Amino acid sequence: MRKSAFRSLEKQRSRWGWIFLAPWLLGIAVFFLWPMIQTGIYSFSKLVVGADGFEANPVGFENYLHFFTKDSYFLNNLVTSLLETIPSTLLIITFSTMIALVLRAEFPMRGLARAVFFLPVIIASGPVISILENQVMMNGSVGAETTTYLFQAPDLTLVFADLGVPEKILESITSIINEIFDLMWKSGVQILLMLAALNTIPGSFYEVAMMEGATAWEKFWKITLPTLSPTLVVVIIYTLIDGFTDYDNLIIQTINSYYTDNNYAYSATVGMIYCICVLAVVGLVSWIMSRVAFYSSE
Amino acid sequence: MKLRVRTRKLNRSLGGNIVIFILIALMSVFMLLPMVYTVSTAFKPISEIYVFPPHFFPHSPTLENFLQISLLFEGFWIPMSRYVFNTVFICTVVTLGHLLLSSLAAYPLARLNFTGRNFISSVVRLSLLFTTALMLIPQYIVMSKLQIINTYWAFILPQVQAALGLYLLQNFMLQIPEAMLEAARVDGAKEHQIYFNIVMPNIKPAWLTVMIFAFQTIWNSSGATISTTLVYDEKIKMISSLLSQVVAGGTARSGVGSVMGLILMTPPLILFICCQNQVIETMSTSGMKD
Repeated sequence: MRKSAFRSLEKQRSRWGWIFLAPWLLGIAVFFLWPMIQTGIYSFSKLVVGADGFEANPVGFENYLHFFTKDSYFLNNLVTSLLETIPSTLLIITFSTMIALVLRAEFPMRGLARAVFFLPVIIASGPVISILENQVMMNGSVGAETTTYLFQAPDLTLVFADLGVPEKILESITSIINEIFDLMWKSGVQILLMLAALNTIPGSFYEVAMMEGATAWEKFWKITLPTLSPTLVVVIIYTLIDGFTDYDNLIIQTINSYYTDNNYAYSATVGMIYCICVLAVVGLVSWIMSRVAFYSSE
Repeated sequence: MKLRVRTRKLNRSLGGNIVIFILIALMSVFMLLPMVYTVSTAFKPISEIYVFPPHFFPHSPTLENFLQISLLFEGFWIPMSRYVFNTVFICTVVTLGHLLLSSLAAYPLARLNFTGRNFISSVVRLSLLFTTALMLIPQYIVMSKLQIINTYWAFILPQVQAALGLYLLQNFMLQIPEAMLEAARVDGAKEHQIYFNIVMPNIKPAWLTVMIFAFQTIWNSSGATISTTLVYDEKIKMISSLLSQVVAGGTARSGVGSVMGLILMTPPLILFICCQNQVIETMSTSGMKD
């Protein structure tokens, strides 16, 4: 008797689950799953522009064969992009955690400070950056890859010289800043996510810790970090994906260049293989992280 | 009550505070520089924009660029009000639609057990990994079959079901204590009531963040492929696409371009500043009293 009642409750819940999911599932099927399958099919074919638009002629494994026998750049590029993405992810995570912790504390003009750290997100992804590039760098190239060069531009050093800063000091400062700046510009989203996560930590945790006489150091390692860990997993994965799919990334550039050369079928092939590689890396990282992370609901 | 006030202060020494404040101030300066430079360029006369070496502050500031914009606006085929309407309409529908759809979908994926849940979760992650350039042609075919090319829907539909928001919300929902949901169920709450009255209020910082992202994405998307291939009728485009066209006008327009840049930056910034205040407010209300 009790068992059947329980089962019907389960059933009811899963029915609600599907109702909640339905609209989104429809969207993802139409705008992601179907196009993805189509891309998969394209990777096994040769695309020709015919009378009714694209025609996909199946060629079997030809594209993949070409990839594994003739494409010697991919592996090198993959290693390079791994070696770039993983260390920078670690740095971005550390940096954004620190900044989020600082921005959570009370200090005058905190709202303004938060907005300032979110600025890169607003600027870097929009038409604004192309304006800046046009003027600060004067090369007119448009694309996210130039974003971080903004402050490596020799012109900018000259702009500072106009303010009366001595050149020697400028040089040493800019070389340090180039590195930091690169990080800061990529951390906007992460800082915001960390702040949101920090704000969901119940104040009572810290109350207890304070009454037990914990130091700030202990509070960080025993309360903040464990409660933050589920979000850290998300932020790490987000940063990894962001790094792997950035326009800056060598392989993404390769894929895009095949695409613009009208070699669409081959770009689909490389894209599929790259997606699997990234999936493996992200899967591995999230598997390791989920062992370490602490979920309060369990 | 007194205790809470004291914990919020995060016992730091005065020296530490000063160091942190200086650090933040320094970093802020570098974050702000591009923005400041845009502002200063907006006030430069055309003769000063391409001076080498460049001036940080304009030597003879002028309002010429601002005046030029109003001249430009008068010469458009389509009235400015139409662009404003399009922008408000598309941004509102996308932001709210995305929030509703992805939070609705995130709740069962995070907290309800049913068959297929793991599979759908992995589809979400997969779609985050896939390069957008690869999807362009298939997506175009889908849209043309749905006959939504060159309509508002071409802007709205693909953005509304973007996976990032769902992924973030799902992960924040995982952190709500199970006891809280269980208590509501014992009290006889239906799942939709739990979603509206318990889950959503508890992750307010998270969904405000997602909202900011959604707005940010749609606001900036119009300069990209959408407005050239999927939508070609000028009547249904947004202000930001208009502004990027002005910017593309070349050297003679670069002063005007900076003014445009300022205009473009403002709405996301305002939204962010409004929302981040809200994010702080929820701090004390979340969590359980046990």
